[in-house]
Amino acid sequence: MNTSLLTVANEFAVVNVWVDDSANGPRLVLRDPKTGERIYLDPLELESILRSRHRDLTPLVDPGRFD
Amino acid sequence: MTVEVNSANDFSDLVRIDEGLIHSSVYTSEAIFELELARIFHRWWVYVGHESEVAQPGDYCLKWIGRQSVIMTRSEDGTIHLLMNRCRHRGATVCQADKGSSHFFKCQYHGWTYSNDGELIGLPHAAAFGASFDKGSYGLTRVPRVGEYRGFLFASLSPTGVSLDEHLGHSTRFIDDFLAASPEGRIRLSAGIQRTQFKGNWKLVGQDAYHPAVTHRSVQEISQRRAGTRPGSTTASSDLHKDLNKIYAQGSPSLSWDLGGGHGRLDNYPSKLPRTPALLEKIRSTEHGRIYLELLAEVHGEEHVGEVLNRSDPHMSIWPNLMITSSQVRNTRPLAAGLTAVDMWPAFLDGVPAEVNSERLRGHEAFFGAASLGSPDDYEVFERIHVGLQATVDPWVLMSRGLETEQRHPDGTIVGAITDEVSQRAQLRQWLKVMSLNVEAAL
Repeated sequence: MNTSLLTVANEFAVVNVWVDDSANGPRLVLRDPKTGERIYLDPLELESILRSRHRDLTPLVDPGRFD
Repeated sequence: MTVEVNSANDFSDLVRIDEGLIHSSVYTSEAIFELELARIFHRWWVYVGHESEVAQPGDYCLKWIGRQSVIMTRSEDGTIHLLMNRCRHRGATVCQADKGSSHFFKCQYHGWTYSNDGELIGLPHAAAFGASFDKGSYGLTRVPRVGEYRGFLFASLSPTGVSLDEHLGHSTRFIDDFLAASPEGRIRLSAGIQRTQFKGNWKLVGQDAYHPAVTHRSVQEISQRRAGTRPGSTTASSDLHKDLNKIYAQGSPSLSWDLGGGHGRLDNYPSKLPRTPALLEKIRSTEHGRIYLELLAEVHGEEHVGEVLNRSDPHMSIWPNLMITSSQVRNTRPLAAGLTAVDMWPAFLDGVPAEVNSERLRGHEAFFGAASLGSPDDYEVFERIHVGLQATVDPWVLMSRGLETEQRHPDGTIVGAITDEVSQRAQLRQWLKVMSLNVEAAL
């Protein structure tokens, strides 16, 4: 059963967050409430993010990454 | 007289400190106001914010230096940065929210994205800016000089000039007094912000002790009615508000100070001293009060706790835009010659029982709140001044109270009686100096 939906927002972005239980194991769901676009992150992926520094996220945040 | 200010470098005809006469245009002229922005707020040291406003890495808040928007951020490594809130592409403000948490800032015009230490980390379709385009040269512009004293951050848009240490001068020991009320020597501005505006000049704010017995007479009458003493009496009591007639009156032991550098303060310590036993008894009457006194005694020694508490209200203005008064940090923001914003942050003490901070907040709300017994009457008077000063037949403001009796000390400070206009002359003396100093240039 999924957990309650939470929203994390600031002036730059709005993201819905919940834990999804519909697959073989739990995953954290991040969803864009405007477009419905979402990603399902497994615990190992989450652990790799938590071991990162914010600076390591620069390639993901770079608006030119899809050029 | 005709006031020509567009090219004026000498305002001594308008600000006659030694005669105690100030020309109204100093408070009403938009031309002078523009020069104040250029020569004071966009050049001299100004107060910007407190470190506790960006307590966590990723925190940011928006501040003003004059009319220039600045982002105060704390990056991942704990460093506080002051960055001009202006995209290096086409100049849009990058952050709009008063405060937030974000390690990256994305301009909503073309998507230029900066890390919260100012670096430009990416932009869409960079190749079109040419092979020589260097992202590293287009980070958010850093405020040229930033300094800090015990958590209070100051900045100057001029790359050169006097040091912050020299600017703060004698004022730092009274910042120390303010912080000493916390056993950890720290405050946090986490109670929220109280934002107000009044239709009058920024130089009207603060450092007048001649007015409380009249302007705030209603506060005294309410306090005395509650205490069962008759209005107008000078019966000693433990509540300062009950004795405005006595404290802010001729013969009061309290003092007004010119600390040098434009800084001034109202020193009520001499009036508070005889009330120390009553003050301590009042605090001891609650469990949280007893704990607070014990915590202070561990740091300062029991015999000094009364003095620490009595000195904890510096009632000081640090020129041009900071006041540390009662239990608040107050920032004056000039918007126009006849429009001023006043932002107040009630200051919580670190390391004390929560009830102590609650009482501080209730005390602030009672006298300084936007709908309180005190501050609204100050703003009412300031607005009346601004209307009155439009009359130009006699354009002179009298600022001479105590001019003949004030005493000058070898360290550059000047002191007078509490109701004398020593502190106001301090501010105007510095105004005159800085407005005339190497004009139209960085310092």
